[in-house]
Amino acid sequence: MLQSEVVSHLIQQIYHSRPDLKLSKRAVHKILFKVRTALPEDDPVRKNIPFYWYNFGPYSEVVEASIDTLKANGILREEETHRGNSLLMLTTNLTDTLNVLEEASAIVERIVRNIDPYHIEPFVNQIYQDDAPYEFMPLYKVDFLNLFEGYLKSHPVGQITLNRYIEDAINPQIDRLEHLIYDCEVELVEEPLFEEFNDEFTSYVSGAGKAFDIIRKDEDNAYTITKSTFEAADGIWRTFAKGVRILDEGHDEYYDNKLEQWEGEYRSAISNMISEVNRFNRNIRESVRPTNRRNANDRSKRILSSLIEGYLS
Amino acid sequence: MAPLHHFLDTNILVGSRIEWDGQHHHTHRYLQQDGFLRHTSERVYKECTGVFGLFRRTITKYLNYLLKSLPASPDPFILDRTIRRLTERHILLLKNEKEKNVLSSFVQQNMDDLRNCALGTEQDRDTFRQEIIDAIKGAFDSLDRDCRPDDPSAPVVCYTCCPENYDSHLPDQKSALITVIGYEPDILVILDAYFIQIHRIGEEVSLVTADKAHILNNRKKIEETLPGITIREPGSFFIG
Repeated sequence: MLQSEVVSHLIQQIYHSRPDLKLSKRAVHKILFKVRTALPEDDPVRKNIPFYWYNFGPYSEVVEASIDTLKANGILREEETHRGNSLLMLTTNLTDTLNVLEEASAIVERIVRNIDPYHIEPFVNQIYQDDAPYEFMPLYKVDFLNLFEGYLKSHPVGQITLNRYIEDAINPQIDRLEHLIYDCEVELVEEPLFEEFNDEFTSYVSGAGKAFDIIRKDEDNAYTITKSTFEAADGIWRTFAKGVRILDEGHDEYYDNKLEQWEGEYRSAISNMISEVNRFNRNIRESVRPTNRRNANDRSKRILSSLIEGYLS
Repeated sequence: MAPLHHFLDTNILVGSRIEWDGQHHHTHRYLQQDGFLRHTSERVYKECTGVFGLFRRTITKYLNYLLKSLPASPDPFILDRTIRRLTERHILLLKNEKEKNVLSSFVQQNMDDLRNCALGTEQDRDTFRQEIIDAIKGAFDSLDRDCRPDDPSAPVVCYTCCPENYDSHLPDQKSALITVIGYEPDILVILDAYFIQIHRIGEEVSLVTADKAHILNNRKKIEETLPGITIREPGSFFIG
């Protein structure tokens, strides 16, 4: 079977299991990725579904092309929801002659039976947890960015809290976010390609630490700071995604001929990221309200002294 | 008479975040001295924040490694030796000499806390990590208080007007310094001092630094190339 036939067959198999399904393209990609990982290493079908890691998880250009072909052939159609999302659904009844790839088809059926098409996020998050090549990815994308996005949505502009009147204001969600961003820094990808990215990420983390202090105190500019801190974080993820697909662990061999083009795109994204992080840090620095000198305890002083002494030695 | 205007290098701004005893650097004592107008550039400020960020990343990564590598119930009688052995192994993986020095110094001076972390609970470990992060946040705070962008009332005025590189602004001076110093980040800082001296201050400026390898050892050549700039160590301003 040709590669396009294999993938096209597996996509139809999704609908064969549940003909009433309406799925986003993203969900189709993730289901087929999961099929690929569930197949034995030596199964020839695996090679026919090549993936690379990108902005929203594993992505396959072959799957994308097959979806387009199935649409062009009238087997699938796309319908827009009232929220403006596109969902793929079956146009015609499928015949029962699809059981050519028995093992892969059985896996498709098993996966499809267990997913909730209307709440695909947990399924995607699980893919990050189980299959992402670097620990940084689930930590940053699933834990940090998702939590941060939720926080931003639940704290609209104009909302104020009593924290602005409290000296040592507490905000457990912000504490959690700040804790997570330091965890992410610990798990940065240690590859030469990521050296510049890592330094910029660290620079962002330093600015984000100050930003979280402003947000925690719910100062007048808290919403604007939250929004710009999230936007910078989101931009950083997009740069990371342009880099991670270049690494051997981030793509299947099928995409090796794209590496030069991807590297060019990554370099350009890094250069944008440097400007964005600089702008973000400058903005945060100007937004910090001058406070009284923090009274550092002896332990803090000893920690900082030991670091500076090492630096100057 | 020594110039009243001082341009501060990264090592002075970083070193002056803490008080030192007499055996150590003069940076904190220097910054406590009145009678000088202090300046720096945005590039130096960013180098400082980069240094503090690197401290945090190096130490939190190390802690993570150490706590994952230690046995579940470490033997307290050989714990110091185990920590030192794991530290040596981790240091071998670090490429940057500064990072190695920072980590060695940290381990040497915080062994009690590391031991307590190894023998303590998850919460003890979290508390120690948070204290490291807070100590570095304190350094950022203190730097931001002292070093404010284009604010003439700040203890250290941080100029944001310097060019990104000096290829078109001071090409001859840059080439002359490249031959002597050969390390671009330091050359750009020196040229920042000169640029600010010409365009903002208009009087003689002392570049205050503790960098022997690239700057203090090349004092004569730098001063010849950049008229109006003198190179000084922080200790040279102490009276008595």
